[in-house]
Amino acid sequence: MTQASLKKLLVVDDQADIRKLIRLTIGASYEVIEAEDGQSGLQKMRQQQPQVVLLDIMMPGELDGMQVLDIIRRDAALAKTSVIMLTARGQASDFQAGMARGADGYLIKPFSPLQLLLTIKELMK
Amino acid sequence: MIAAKPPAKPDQAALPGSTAQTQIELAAGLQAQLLRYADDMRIVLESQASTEQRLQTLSQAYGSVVAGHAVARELIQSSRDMFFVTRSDGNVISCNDATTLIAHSAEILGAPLASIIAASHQPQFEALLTKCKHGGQSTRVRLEIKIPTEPGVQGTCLVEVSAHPVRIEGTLHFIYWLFREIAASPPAEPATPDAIAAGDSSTDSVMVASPDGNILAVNQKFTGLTGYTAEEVVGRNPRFLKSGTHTDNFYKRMWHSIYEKGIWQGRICNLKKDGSAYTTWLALSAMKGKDGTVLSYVATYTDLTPMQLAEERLSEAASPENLPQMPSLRLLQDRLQHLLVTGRRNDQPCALFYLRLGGFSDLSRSRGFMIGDAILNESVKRILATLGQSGSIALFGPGDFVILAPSIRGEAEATDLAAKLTKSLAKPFVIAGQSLTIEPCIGGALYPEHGDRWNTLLDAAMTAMHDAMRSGARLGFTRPQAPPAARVQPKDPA
Repeated sequence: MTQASLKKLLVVDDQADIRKLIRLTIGASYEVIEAEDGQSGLQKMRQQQPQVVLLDIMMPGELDGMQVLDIIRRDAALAKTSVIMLTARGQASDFQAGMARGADGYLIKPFSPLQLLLTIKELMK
Repeated sequence: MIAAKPPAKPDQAALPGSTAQTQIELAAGLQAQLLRYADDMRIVLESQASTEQRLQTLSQAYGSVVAGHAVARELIQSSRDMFFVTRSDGNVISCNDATTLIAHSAEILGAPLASIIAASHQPQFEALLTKCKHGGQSTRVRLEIKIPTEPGVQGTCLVEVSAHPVRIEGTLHFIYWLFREIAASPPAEPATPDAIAAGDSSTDSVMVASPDGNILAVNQKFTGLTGYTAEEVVGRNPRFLKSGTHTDNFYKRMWHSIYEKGIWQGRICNLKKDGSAYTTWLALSAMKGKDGTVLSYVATYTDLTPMQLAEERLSEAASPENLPQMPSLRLLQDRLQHLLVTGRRNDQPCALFYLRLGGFSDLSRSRGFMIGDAILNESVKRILATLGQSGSIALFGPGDFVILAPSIRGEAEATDLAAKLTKSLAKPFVIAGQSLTIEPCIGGALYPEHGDRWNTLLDAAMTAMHDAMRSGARLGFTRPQAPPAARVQPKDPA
């Protein structure tokens, strides 16, 4: 399968090591695009039109993950993108807030790579 | 104006300690994430090992299946039955060698299986195919198929067709078809019951019954024996002939033998039309078809003469079932006849004894027949042990034995043997913890002194035994002056 025919997935996370891990985990099955903050993440979404976005909640800069999610859901061009929230906070409030704002999945750091694969696979259907 | 530097992020400039803290937290988070990866890797590796194990098991199973498939394929190929595999639409995708009877495999493969079915049976075949398509299970029907009888000439052949649909996850993929030829010519008609009854025997009474036990036919001899005409018995169950002499177990054993061996023989006492009982020798056999199913039962009744009946009664008393070590009286009689013939030729004497176990009947009645049988068995053992190899013994009646002792010369030798016999039998019998005694009494007759025929000698021995009993002795011998001929039976089988 060529890179062009792979489905696209955007990872928005300020930690380069995490992005690298995710790329290693799913890179063989999907075309992985990386962004280190919310602003550049939104920009790459508009450019690359990924099917799934892995979005870290806690990020430095002007936009955190929740704000980016709000923008995605309000933007007609991006609204259909599946979003998996990724956070170190494994608290119910985060989970409920994320799902209430329209997230499609939620993974808690440290996340299980197998769970990551299954979640992505489910959303890519 | 000095342009001011853009303010540094407060958490980075003013709180260098916090930055270090953040870095530590990030590193800790990353480490935690790596450990999570390691955990999942372990799970994956374990799963992989399990998968490999399953794969190996499956591989072995597949090997067995392949081997079994090869055997099955060989069996199918070499079978005389025609075997087809069709798709769900009925088109043939495989067939065995036997199908070349119909056509070359190249003509069959890819063609609808319906093309080999005779026109007259197309509806039945279509119904069978439809049944297979719509969830039916294995089914059998008889169909005619087209076969080339001569070059260019089509005939038909009757076959039994069994269809086995193969479904995978509920979807019909294949249908296995087995065509078994049914005899090309019509099967020979089984003989009619009347023919069996008439032809089975000209001298014996014959009755033929259906598998469910009702009389189908009888011959003239049957009417002569029982008084019943064919019209009176055909359609009835033969149980109306029962005399009540035999127990339910007797009939159970009879039918068990019929089911197991296909035949039963033995004496049977039935009732005539006039209510009188008669005893015959019955040979009851099951006539079976090629497939093993019972077509009819044939009963042949052989009449027994009064003499045979008397002998049968005695033989039964000494039957191997009751006393396995004893020959029948008939056999003893034969032996004596033989001895008498050779004795005459070689001047060889012998003695015949009549032995009664006094009190046996009372013991048997009071203590039970099991005790009686045990006494008889033990008595036989003692008598045989005393007689040695050359003697013979038969049970004559309840507690009465006839004993043949060859090579006994003179009364003294016979008396000696008789004394030994009574002595051995006078010893207590210990049975089921009880010590029981009987009073043996024996009478003897010598050949050639007291007679030279079976009946003469037997009568003389019995008389001597009775005389001895009356006198209170245990043994006695017929005096030569007592003319045994006066007591002989009118008919001498010798």
